[in-house]
Amino acid sequence: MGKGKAIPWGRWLVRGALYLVLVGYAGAVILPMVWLLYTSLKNNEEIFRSAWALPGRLHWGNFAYAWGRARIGDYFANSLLVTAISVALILLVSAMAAYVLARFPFRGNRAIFYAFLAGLMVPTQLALVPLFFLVNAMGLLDTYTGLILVYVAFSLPFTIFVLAGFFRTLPHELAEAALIDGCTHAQAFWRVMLPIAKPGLVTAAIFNFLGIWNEYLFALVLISSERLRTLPLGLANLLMVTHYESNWGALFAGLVMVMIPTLAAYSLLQGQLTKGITAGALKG
Amino acid sequence: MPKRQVIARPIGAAARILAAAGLLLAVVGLLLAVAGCSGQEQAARRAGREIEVQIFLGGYGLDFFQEVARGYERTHPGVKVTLSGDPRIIDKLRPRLLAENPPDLFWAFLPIWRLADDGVLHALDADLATRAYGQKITWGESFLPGPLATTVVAGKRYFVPTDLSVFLMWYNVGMFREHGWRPPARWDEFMALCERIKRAGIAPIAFQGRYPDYALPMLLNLFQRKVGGRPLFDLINLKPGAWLHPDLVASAATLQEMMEKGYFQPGCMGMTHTEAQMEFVNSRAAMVPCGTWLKAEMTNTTPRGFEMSSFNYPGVRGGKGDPSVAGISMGYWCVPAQAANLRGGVDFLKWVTSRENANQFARSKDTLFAIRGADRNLARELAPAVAVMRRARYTWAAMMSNWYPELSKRIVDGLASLMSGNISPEEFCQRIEQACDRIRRDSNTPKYQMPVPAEVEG
Amino acid sequence: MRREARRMAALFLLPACGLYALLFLYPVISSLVLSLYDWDGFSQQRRFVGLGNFRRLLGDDPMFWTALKHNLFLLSVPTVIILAAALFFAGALTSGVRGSKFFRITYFFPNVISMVAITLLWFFIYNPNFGLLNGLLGKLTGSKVSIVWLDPNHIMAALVAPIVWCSLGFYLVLFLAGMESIPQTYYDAARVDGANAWQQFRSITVPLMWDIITVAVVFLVIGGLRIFELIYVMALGYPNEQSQVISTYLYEQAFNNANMGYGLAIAVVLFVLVFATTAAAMRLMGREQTEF
Repeated sequence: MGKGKAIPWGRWLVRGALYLVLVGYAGAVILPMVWLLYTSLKNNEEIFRSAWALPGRLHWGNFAYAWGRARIGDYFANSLLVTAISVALILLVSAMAAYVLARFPFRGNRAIFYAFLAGLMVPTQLALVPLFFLVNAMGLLDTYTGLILVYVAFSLPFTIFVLAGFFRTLPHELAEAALIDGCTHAQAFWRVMLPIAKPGLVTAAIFNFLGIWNEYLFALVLISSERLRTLPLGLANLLMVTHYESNWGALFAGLVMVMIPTLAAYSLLQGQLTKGITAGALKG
Repeated sequence: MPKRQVIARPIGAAARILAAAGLLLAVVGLLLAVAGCSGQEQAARRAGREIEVQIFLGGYGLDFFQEVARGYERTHPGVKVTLSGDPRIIDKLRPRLLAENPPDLFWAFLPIWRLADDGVLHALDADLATRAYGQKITWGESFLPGPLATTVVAGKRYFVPTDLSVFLMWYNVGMFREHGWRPPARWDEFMALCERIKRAGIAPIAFQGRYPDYALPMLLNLFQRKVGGRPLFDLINLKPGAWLHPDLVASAATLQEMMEKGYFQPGCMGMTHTEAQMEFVNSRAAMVPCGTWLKAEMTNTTPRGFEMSSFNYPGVRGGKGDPSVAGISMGYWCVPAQAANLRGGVDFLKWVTSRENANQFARSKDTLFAIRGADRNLARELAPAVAVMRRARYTWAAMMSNWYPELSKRIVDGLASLMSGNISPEEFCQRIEQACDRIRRDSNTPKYQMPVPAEVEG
Repeated sequence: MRREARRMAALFLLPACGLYALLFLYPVISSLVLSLYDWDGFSQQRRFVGLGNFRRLLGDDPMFWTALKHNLFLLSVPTVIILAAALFFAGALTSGVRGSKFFRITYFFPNVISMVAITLLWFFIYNPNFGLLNGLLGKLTGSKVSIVWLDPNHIMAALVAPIVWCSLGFYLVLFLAGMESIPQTYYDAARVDGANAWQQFRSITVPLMWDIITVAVVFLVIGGLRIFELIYVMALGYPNEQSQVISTYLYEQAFNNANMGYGLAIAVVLFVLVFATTAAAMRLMGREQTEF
């Protein structure tokens, strides 16, 4: 029976409760971050004295320490370099392969495609150990070249899956028109199909960027030099070092510095990200 | 049509450029990496002109070792010592050991007993019979016998002990003085002392609960005080049934009782070692169990004017064990069998462990060293540790934790459960015995034995 | 296919297939082979033991089963909570609540942060002395609160909150997409028939979203099996018995205990588990596609 219609306040109650829960959870997300932010401006003593209190003075020194002495600044640059190159290479290599797999029927097409898909189920830990020795045998241990190539290889299953799905939905006519105009298949790809695939590429780029920017395990195993550390490694190391040096303010500051760029980038790109997931959900 | 091409061309070109860049990167990277393992360095080492040393970079830093290296270079003209350190030295050593291209000397927390068994390390017995630097005795004789005895694998020695720590109970001198408390001479006095401290409203013992093996020296010392040394060495050597000894169960029960009575600081099970030790130096707890490294480790956070000292675990009334016995731990340095400059590695190791350098090490890093006579003129806080080492009838180390990493884990987990009150003392001992049993049964795990010192009682 | 097309196809597939075969397939197959050996990972000495590692793992290793138990907990409890919460929030946000875009963006925040950072953040939230949670409770109750949230006795339960916190956003967006694509006419018809909100939810929303829900369950279950950073970093690199999971146990055996072959056997078992649970989940939840 139209309970909502007959008794207005009943509906208001439900609405109100709903809002409470929604706002409550939003608070649960935002509060820790706000707390993190103002705790990073306290010194050691203030941190230990009271979790809740606001800092007396703004200890920007924590940030200077984390950026400089704790080398978070360096690690930031490292992560940027590794991630940017990796994503670029991934898109390139995946788009090429996905296009062929999606549009060129040939014997073994399905087999290769499923081989890539199977990779989605393999836990990375299974490949970790021989990968370490393989990369070492190639002389690429503790180098960015090695790390980047590994990142590319392991992003192939997901990216090819996404891009192949995308290419399959694109209209054939455009490519055919280009071929009739005298382009080779390759030219048709570079000049016509790839530009149109930009939305799919952007989505794949964002997911890969996030994945690699935050990646920890491979970096942990393949990179051991301090100066080559990526951000997640640097942060984890800062945590372990803080247990010896006890500069907790700097640790908080380091954490803030790691989170802020990601959140800022997300705020700008969240529309695209949502579109990507939505498209995936509807197709999948 | 033209519009599409205008957009398309830059993207196609960009993609091509990226592809080329990627390829270039791979090639350059490969070249650089290859260039890294320069054949030149290897040749110098093989000719004996260079010695490569790699060590763990931690609390001791690198500066002291660089000074020692420079000292070696001065007394050995024509030889260069390349010394490097890294907190993740294990990951650096792993591929080099595998490629059979290791450094000439290293110090790392590796499973060196397993490595010795697999033939990766160079046996030092012949070298130990040569003369030590700056002394008339042999290199082997310059070491303290107890620590040196821990290095035997299948009858040979594959590494030497270096920095040494004694496990003692540290206490707040000022606080003790203020309340008229005194370090206990017997275990029952120790318990009474804890009770008195608790009544005064202070936590008697701070505890590094997240790393419960800080309680192992207390447990095993108490056990030895009750029954003497032989059953203790049975434990270490994994003799069947050794861990089920009723006095070990009783000792575990004592530990649990101490926790229940509040002798360990409330909330200690969640504290890391720095957190617990900070409670100690900030006078919120009166005592803390630790190795001799406590002073050095807390040097940055110890308040001015804080005085700390230590005492050995007291004896038990009517017990068979000599209360002078002490539990120790040490670091080990190794020379790989495949080192390019094996002679150089061994010689530099002899240099580092010379009495003078050992004493320098001990003085500047506030630690003990496994060389006779290296304990002169150490900091005041270390005086009790020095006295304990000099007076000890013999020393012991929890070698089973070094030999069998899995057993070490089981012991740590067992202690955590025991002290949290989750399992009974009987169950604790049973679990360890079961873990020992699994190791005894596993044909893949090499087995080790610690020689029992002649002075052992019981 | 024309020759030119075939050439292009081969060329285009080469980099991806080459990299994949070399850096992915080859290591995976190597792992399978190496799991049959006893190897310390430092020396060239290797001993073939056949299925010995597996026999020991499944028959004589209580730690493995403890770790598995923890994984089972972590793949079930958070999954149920996340599914329920994501469905609830998605439903709420599609029912015309104001500011839905704000909530959607906010809830997704934690998903973009690295797992290490999230672990660290929750490490601080849970800290007994200066943590946010105890600070909050202290403020509410008026006296100092020092609960040790990460006490080994209940650490697994304590890990549920960070897992839910950092995963919810993604599934919310996923379910939102699904819900928004259900035509409103269905709901209108149901309301005319007298169904209330809950009945509408049960008989329209859920069945039409079943595929998406299945995908979510599979992802969450696999995630629960493969979880690593949260445990590893929270335990400062050395998880104890009560916080061990399969992937950290694998790491410990392979890298800390010099039991490479054994660690790889654990990895193989993990792979089998992932494969098996995926197949089982899809089988259990597979239904005829409800077309509309």
